[in-house]
Amino acid sequence: MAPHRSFSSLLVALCLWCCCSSSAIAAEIAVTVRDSRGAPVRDAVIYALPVTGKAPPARRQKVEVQQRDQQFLPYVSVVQTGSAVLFPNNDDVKHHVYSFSPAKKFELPLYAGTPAEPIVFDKPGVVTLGCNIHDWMIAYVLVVPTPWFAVTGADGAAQLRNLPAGAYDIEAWQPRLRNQAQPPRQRVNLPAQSSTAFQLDLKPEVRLRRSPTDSGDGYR
Amino acid sequence: MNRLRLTRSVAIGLAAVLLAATRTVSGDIVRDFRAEVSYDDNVSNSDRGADQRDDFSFAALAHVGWFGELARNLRLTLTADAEARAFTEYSDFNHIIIGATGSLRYRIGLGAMAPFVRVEASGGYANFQQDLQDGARYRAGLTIGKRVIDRLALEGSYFFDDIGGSVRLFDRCSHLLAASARWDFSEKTQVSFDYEFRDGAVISYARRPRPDIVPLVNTQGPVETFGPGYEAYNFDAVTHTLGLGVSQALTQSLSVNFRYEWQHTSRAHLTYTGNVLRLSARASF
Ligand SMILES: [Cu+2]
Repeated sequence: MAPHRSFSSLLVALCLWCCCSSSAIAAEIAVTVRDSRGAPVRDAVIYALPVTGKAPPARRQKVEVQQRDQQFLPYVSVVQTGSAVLFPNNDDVKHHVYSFSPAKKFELPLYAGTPAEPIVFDKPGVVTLGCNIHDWMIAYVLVVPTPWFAVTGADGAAQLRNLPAGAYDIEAWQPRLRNQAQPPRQRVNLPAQSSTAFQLDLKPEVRLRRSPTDSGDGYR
Repeated sequence: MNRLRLTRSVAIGLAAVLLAATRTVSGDIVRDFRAEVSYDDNVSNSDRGADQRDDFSFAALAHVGWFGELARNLRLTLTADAEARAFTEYSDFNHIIIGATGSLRYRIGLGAMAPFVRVEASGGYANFQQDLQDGARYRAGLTIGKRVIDRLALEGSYFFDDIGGSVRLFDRCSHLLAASARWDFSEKTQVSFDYEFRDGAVISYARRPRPDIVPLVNTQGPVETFGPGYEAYNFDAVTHTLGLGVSQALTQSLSVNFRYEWQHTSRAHLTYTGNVLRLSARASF
């Protein structure tokens, strides 16, 4: 993968040098996400929507949401509309994955290993994943109509790369975002602008707990 | 003796079902353990302050078994249960209980938010330091529940409880109705509130003479757990219990729990109350 990537970078650099045409410039932008108290926010999805409304179609890439140690991995995924996602089960117990979300309703009844058919996410929106066996298992897939996206790490930072020069609306989404209907949006011009920042209004964490409780057996 | 034989048959039967089930349907292993320290300010269930005795107890409990899906919405859970409890002062109550529990849970829909109905039955045999209290015990009932919002789960249940002793004095049957609410402050902290209505036989200890209790009793006898001059009275009564609990997760499989219970028992003019505090560590793998 690495030699291929450096070759493409070289090619891009060459093009830039030769043509100097602004529309061919592959720009990138650094985004930082913080909460209302200024703390870095992890698992925030950043994506760029071209103002022209034209985004290239989904690339064929292998996207997986694994189940490991009775948890989904990763907790937050982002895919372009039309992408297919596999749900491999790496545990020695079975899982029963489901989603009731309007963007994609589906069910993978009790299974071990990797289901043969991936799930195709054909509508943009938030898809909340659950497991009918282990109630604490939860994960999110954000389906976006653009190939330019990234998820923030623990430092709240993410980088959007290889965007053609132009104007974009950058949006930031997180599972705990208070206003899910309208993620905050910022207009940027590339390559003139190289960084931007978001401050998100987040709800407190309310994931179902896995730890044993004194009253009620929870998942049983 | 008959009860003992029945309990053994139930335990063997459940173990056989458990083995058969784990071989045919894949599922998850249940390993729940609890260590508990508790304080009861009226372990003697006495109505008069002068007769009332308090005590601390230490307990270890284990539930080991299996759960698996019989159908899309139907779950079977089978466990072998064990409890050992020791009292600091009144060792007559020290005991070991060995038993088994089976439950079937039907969910109306999928996922954590779906309402459920669970029927369960358990049986066991209790061996007390004071042989008079030895005997089989059974419990069967039904629970309905629903997580109404992300943070709040509600449950209601009915149980029939049958506790047997080696003498009639320690036999107790009761009907229980309970309601509980659990509120998740965060992923780690949970607060619970519950109420239980119990209608059935209780055992209250009082120093003789108590001519006012005698007309109420099913049976009575001199039992010197709390010293000479005490009589144990078995009579039917109604008990209201209010419970408040806080559970703090330490890791995904370990939690510490604190619980307070206020118990109020009455029958005709006779009334006694108890306050119970429990501190426990729970582990589930
Ligand atoms: Cu699962």
